[in-house]
Amino acid sequence: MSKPVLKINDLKAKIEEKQILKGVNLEVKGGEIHAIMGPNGTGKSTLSQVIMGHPKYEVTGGEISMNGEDVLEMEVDERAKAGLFLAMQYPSEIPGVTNSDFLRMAKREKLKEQGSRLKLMDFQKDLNASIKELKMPEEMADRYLNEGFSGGEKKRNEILQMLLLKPEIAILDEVDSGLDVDALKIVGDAVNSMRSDNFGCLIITHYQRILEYIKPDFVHVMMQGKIVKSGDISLMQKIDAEGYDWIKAELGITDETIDG
Amino acid sequence: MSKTDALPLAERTNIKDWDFTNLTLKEVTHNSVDKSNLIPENAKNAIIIVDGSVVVKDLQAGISIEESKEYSNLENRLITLNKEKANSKLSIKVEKNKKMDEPIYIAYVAKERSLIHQTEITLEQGAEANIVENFKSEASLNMNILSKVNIFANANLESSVINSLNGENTIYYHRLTEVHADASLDSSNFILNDSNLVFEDFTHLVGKGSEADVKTVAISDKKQKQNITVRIENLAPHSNGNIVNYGVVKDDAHLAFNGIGKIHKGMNAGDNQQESRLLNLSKTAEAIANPFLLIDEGDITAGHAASIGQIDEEQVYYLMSRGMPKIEAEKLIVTGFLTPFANSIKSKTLREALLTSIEEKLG
Ligand SMILES: Nc1ncnc2c1ncn2[C@@H]1O[C@H](COP(=O)(O)OP(=O)(O)O)[C@@H](O)[C@H]1O
Ligand SMILES: [Mg+2]
Repeated sequence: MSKPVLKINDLKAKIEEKQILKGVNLEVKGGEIHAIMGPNGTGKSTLSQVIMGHPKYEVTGGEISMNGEDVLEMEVDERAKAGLFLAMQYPSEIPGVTNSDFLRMAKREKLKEQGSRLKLMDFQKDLNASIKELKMPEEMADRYLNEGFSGGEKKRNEILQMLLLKPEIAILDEVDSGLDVDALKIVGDAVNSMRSDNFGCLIITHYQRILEYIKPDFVHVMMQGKIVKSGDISLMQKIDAEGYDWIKAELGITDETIDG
Repeated sequence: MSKTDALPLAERTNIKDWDFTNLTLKEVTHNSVDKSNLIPENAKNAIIIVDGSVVVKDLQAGISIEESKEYSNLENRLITLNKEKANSKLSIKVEKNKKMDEPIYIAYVAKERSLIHQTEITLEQGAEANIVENFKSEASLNMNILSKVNIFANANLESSVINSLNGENTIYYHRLTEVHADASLDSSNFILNDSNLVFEDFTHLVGKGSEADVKTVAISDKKQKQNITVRIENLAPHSNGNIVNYGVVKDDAHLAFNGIGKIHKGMNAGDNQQESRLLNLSKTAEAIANPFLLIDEGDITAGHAASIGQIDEEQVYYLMSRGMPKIEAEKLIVTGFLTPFANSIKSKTLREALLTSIEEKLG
């Protein structure tokens, strides 16, 4: 199996007539961990939602491909089946549908795509193991999907889905917000446990905290709807020590948001 | 126009031009039927009526059947029509203090002619029974069904009515239940057909300490028009009524739920509650919740809650992002919406019937 690769080329997107992404270039391959950092309102979540195919955003230019296939031509579910996964910043609540029923159905769809069938016993074993790994209470499986979950529970539940669905490229949007240090470490361990040549990861955050647990190979900074700077882990360390002002100064801007 | 000439009220739905009177009336008799899909295999009590002929009758001791004698004491043009043209009748009685521990399954099948039917169900004092009635059709025939239920003192009835009279047809269904002192009704209606329908389920709490819990679910799609009225009247002190309605509409369907609670004067210490939840899956469908509370007594409790929701695009997106095709995502959201209703249904078979219908209507 060749390494998965997600390619984003000069991506532009708008929402309700407001241009948000203004030409994003990025390539994430199996075996790599990328981090996108940047202050609030710079277009990070928009990028992740556009990759996944959120219906509210309109792509106005550029390309996205996954293993050479045109992602922009795919329905949302086809993107998931192509190997993409997005841990959302604000996951939806689905009343009346238990977490385990949902996970089972999602897993069944995924396996169907791969030409195999879900074995209930295996699924149950995997589910229990992953719940344990994430130190989630067992009854989380029987609760309605995200309904009444605390912020931290929702984030862990997103990671639980990632562990079970085994995507090739995962995007984690602010999966660290609302997590205490213990939870951060658990989530970090879970992501690290997936590290392989068949798994690439894009971590979106505006803190460096989570990156202490998941060491990124590449660090990018997003401002004004573009990636304005890329580097290795030393870029993250510099941002941690000095903040973003020096980057703004370099770029000669004062407002880093998409309105800037 | 005298009261007898009027059409059912069917509030919020215009039924003036519906072809209720276009009935297929020919003589047919049947003496056999394929039981599968009508009655569970292991049923201990089963009655199957095909086009008016009783073709299966397996009953345990303590239950008897005969031709129906009584129907509604209410009157309208369609009830009169039924009384004139009835071609299928059943009266079933559970004897005094008889506690049936096995359900009684009744299937009414319309094969070749319109079902113009009357059912009378009587639970004598202290009796207990679980009756599952299944209305099925094999052709597009218009139907008119009257039902009268008497639950005498201290008796308890668990009743389920599954209406899967399929076809491009028009149905009038009317039921009146009287609940006597310290008796109870736990009733669920599953309206899972493809018809245009006026459905009236009226309960009179006539005895002190009587109770009625009436739950109804309907799924309307395509060009279906359905009007459902569930009415509970407190006609005795210390009586409790509870109405729960769940509906899903899609395509160009119209579904109106009228919930009516009426507490008569002097009927103190009563309770009358109702709740209607509707989910509308399309911009061209119409979902209506129309609650009424008519209260002529001060010393009571009563309340109503209603909500009409749209399917949430974010939810669909979220589920699709996990690899579920859109149609599966919508089905899952609808199933979740109906979960509180399904959880209130004791019978596994009926919960499964509801899921099957979701599959069929949303598939
Ligand atoms: N649903 C929306 N409607 C209108 N504007 C939006 C919407 N979502 C995002 N935006 C705009 O896009 C900008 C970038 O948002 P977002 O991608 O969430 O940034 P980040 O994740 O970097 O904080 C926001 O500041 C806002 O102006
Ligand atoms: Mg964000």
